Amino acid sequence: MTEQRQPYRTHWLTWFFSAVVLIPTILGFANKFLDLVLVVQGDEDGAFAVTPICNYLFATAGFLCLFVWTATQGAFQNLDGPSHTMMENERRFDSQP
Amino acid sequence: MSAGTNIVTADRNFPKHHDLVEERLVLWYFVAALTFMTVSMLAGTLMGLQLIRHNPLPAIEILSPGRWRMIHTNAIAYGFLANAFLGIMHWVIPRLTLRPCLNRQLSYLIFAAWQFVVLATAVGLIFGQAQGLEWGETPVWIDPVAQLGLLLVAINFGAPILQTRGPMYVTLWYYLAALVWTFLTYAMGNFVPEYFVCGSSAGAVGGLFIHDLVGLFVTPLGWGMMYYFVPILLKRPMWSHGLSLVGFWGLAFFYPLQGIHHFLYTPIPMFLQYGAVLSTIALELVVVTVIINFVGTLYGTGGLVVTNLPLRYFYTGILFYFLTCLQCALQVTMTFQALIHFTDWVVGHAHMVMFGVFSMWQLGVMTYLIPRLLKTEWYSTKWCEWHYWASAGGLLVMSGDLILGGLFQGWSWAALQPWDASIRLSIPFWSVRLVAGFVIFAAQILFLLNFYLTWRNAPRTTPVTEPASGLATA
Amino acid sequence: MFERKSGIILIAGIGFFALAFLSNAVVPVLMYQHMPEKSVKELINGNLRYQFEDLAQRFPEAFEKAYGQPPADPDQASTWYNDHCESALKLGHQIYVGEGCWHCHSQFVRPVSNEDRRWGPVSKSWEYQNELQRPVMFGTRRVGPDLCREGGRRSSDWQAVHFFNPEALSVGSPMPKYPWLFDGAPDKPTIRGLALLTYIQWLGSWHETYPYYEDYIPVPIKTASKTE
Repeated sequence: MTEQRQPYRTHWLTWFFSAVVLIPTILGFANKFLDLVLVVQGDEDGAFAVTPICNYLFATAGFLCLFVWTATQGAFQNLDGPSHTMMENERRFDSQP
Repeated sequence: MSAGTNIVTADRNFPKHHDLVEERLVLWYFVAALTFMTVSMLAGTLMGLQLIRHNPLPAIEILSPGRWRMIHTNAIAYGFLANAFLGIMHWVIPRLTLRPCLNRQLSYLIFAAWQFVVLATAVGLIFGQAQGLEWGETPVWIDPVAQLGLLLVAINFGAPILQTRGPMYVTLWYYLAALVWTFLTYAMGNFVPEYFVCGSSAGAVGGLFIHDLVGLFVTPLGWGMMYYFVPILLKRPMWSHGLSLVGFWGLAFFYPLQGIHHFLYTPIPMFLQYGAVLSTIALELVVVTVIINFVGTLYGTGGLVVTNLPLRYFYTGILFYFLTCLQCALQVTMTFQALIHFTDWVVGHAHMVMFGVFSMWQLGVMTYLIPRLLKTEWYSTKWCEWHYWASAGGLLVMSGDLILGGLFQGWSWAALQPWDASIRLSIPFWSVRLVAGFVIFAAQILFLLNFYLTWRNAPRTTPVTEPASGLATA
Repeated sequence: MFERKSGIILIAGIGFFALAFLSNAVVPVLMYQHMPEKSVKELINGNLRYQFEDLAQRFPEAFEKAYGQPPADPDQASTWYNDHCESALKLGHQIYVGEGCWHCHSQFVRPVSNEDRRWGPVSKSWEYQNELQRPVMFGTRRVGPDLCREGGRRSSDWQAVHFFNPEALSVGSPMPKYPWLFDGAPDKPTIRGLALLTYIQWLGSWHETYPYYEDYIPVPIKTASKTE
């Protein structure tokens, strides 16, 4: 990590907000998914209910694997770098006569 | 990393702004954009007057409101939004990549070709040659020309972006992807359902086209623009560049999967409709990350939104973006669709997206760039303020009114009221919409006038002013 | 790879676009493969032929001006009517698209919001597998009524007057006038007017619920031409 250390408060807030967003989302999703599985079990044509969700889960999982792999290959080391370069370049352009 | 070495190089090796940015072309694009916006608003006014049965020019073939309704949407999408985006890209891309566009002549050729495409579309529509595809009514014989134009645009802007080294700024991510997407979307929408597939499948492709045109052409160019202009106006970098990339990948993945949500309850297979609905709701979470990022960037300097007019435009657009996306997540559900599909709710939503978000952003960028391009202050900053308030206020009234009217229409239909009952109850809503439309129209005319008077004040020594006066009066 | 330009172009630009196209467009195309696209000629059915011949009787001068006289021989006359009906249907569709009718009139009945009680049977995929639904005319806004079951609901006389001056028949209608489809009077439709009338009467004519506004007894071509 080349960037400056994150302040403690931001760190704490990030985890707090992830919990606030993720826990109800996961609960809600699991609940609904179980509902839909019950639909499939009770109805022959019910497959339509879970097919798109499964497709998306697969695609997302694949995407996540790719993401993790890329990160281990050395990407995302300096995420805010381009942002600072951009600001610096803008400053130089604007100081031109 | 050569991006880093750029900072180290001495300032005299740093490329000069006027070598990179073709300022005259940016201005020309703005003039073209505002001209087509005026045309579009004339067309919208005509249709609005027709709906309340006060069309001043009835029964004239080439002024048929049905045809001009198509000019209204096409002139906004391809005349105003596309032209303004191209102009802004001519400013943003060279400054971000530190390289000029591929070729100066090509840039001017594209400008001319694009104006030809838009004008030919308008003429084709006036003479009843529309193609039966919403947002793609461009007569079929223009489609190949437009396609070629988009290819040239991708090459001209793609070249400097591809030449940069090292990790890119998020704006360039959006721009690079949008150049590919716009080309593919246009090809898919204008050729596949016209020549290859029919019926429900054509509906699926058509839905994908309507959606991708907003999602993969307008939205990435719009957000790319915001990620550039908001930090430089606030003079501080984005709250989190990493989070902005989450937004990019979220948009790239979820946005194209939603096309079918424009045709729910049609004969298109039900599981595909559910898939589109799911993906739409997923995208709203991505949108929230983007909004958090922009609010985070503003945090602590919120007062600037009040005092800095371009920033106010941007954050108003961001607010409307949040509102439309929230509305999207609700209206895309089957429950809402049963009631609001086919009603003015959708029209209100479309106006909020196209004018409230993207046009507001572009008008904000114009408000910021025009004095810089003309090297002179606005003729009247007071008029700029009026332009903002009338645009934002008019739009708020218009979309709110249409959304509400849509609910009434939906209920009237579901209750099996006679059809004319739904027309009668719409008249007040249509009247309010028309008034709001006039306010917006007046605001843009004021802006154009302000632009013209500013241009007249511009110092004559700059090369920009030579063709200026002629163009501005046109 | 997610930070590289090739990643942006290939994964986000092309990859995700292709994924969406495959899942949202190729899937329905493959699902409807067993329902081949019908040509305009194959769309002409008894109901539509009746309506087209009916136009010849209602607007004899206009019809003759537009299409000439049918041959005397009944067999030849039948092919003659079919051919002209086909070209009228095509032109009618072109006008329907060019005038932007589809921006205010939808062409599908949804299974919700009591729509089947107002318009008729809910739309099915097979109804749209034809040349005139390429691009499909589903529509996204209903200022005026849905039209996919409109054929046969009202007589061509009514439709002609309505095109000429909508408010004469439906009071308070915001529909524009279309006098350029006529030679100055609603009983003198031009070739374009006749074409649009044919197209409107075609909508829903494939359905067994095609409503007949008056008793429909197939008229032999001979008697039809005699009454002219």
